[in-house]
Amino acid sequence: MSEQLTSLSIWQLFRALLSRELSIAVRSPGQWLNPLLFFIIVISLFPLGVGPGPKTLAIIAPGVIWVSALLAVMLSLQSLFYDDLHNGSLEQFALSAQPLSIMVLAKVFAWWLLSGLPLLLLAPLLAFLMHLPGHAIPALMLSLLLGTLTLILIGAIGAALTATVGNGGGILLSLLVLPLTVPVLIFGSGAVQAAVSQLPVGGHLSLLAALLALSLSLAPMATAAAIRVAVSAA
Amino acid sequence: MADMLEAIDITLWRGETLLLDAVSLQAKAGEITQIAGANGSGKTSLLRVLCGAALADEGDVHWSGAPLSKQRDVFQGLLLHIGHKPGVHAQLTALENLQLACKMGNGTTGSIETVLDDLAILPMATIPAGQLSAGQQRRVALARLALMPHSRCWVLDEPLTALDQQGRDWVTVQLQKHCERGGVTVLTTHQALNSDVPGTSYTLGVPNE
Repeated sequence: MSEQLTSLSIWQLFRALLSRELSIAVRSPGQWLNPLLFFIIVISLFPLGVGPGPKTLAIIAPGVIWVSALLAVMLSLQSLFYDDLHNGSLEQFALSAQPLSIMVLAKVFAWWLLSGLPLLLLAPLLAFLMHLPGHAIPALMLSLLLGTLTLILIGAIGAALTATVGNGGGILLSLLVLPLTVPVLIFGSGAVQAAVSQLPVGGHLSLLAALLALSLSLAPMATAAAIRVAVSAA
Repeated sequence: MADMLEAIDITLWRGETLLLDAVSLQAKAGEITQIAGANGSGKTSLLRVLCGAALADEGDVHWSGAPLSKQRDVFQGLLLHIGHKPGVHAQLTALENLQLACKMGNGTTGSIETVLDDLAILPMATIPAGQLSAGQQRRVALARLALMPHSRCWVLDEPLTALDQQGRDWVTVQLQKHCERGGVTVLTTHQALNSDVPGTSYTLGVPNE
């Protein structure tokens, strides 16, 4: 077998790291299946708790679906960097010559593919359960597409900052990250409520897209800095 | 100027304990610099400061005469650090772990199987690393020594721990080759190195309260 020095482009590095994350996730499905089950269970319980009246359920549906999605994403984020910090991989990444923010982006995208995308695909089914009008489904899916990616990007900063904390990490992560996610929740559920009322949804979705662009440009660097702090303190 | 990793008056506190008190050392090219000391004397902490994973409270680290903080990217491109934690993910196979390590560190992916064969872990190369013994996981981590020959500075924390005689001999050969190439080596160990390579030994004292 010939020896060849590998010098990676950013895209090749991203693909290699994405492949790593997906391989790990496939072999430990509990990490991304649990938040999905949480999402399904919470929404399924609302018709039982509030009552099966279609009008009541349709009114609360945008908020219920969006709050459940937000909490499901938060639930999954706690373990984003935990394993890699404790087995020394994060230290190897931090001390490599490759940009740490690319590793963060690959991790976030893999996490979204495994927990955000299935949540997005399940949403129409759960919207039907909540008697959300059919014409609001495209707005729901678009808002979740933009919103879940933003939530994971913001949450990654908190996950890196709390990676060295033991059992209390989950609570600390929620306290740090939840206030930052409020705009996403407001514009996300606002878009779906506007669609239910057959009002224009462009404004809400544009603001969600702006939040995603802002998170995409700042969160990887902030997360990389937080990882260096976590590695230093480990 | 020849490569040299230098610690200048490194002071490190851990809470109320003074772990390192103005420690200075010079690790020169072609030599093995060995850091000895009792458990808890701060060997791992010193190595982490030397490779840039942790910051010292006082003092500085220089690479080839210039502060590390001013040439971090250059230094990290030349560094091979194997820490106390092996950096091996339990869910990935030995092969997958090393393929990514080579890609991250510009290593030679083509020779992974040969190196794993030399380390007698090729038959276990395709099972998750979590199912390997501690010694075998250590061998997976140490395989990077042979896969990244271009790394000019090796910082190794207890590289001989959990290895049998064959494993220790293999590491010793890699250290000798690295020194012959003119590389810098800093390592901690509780075992004497059976090597002819010239070296310097520093012993850390017990921390003060």
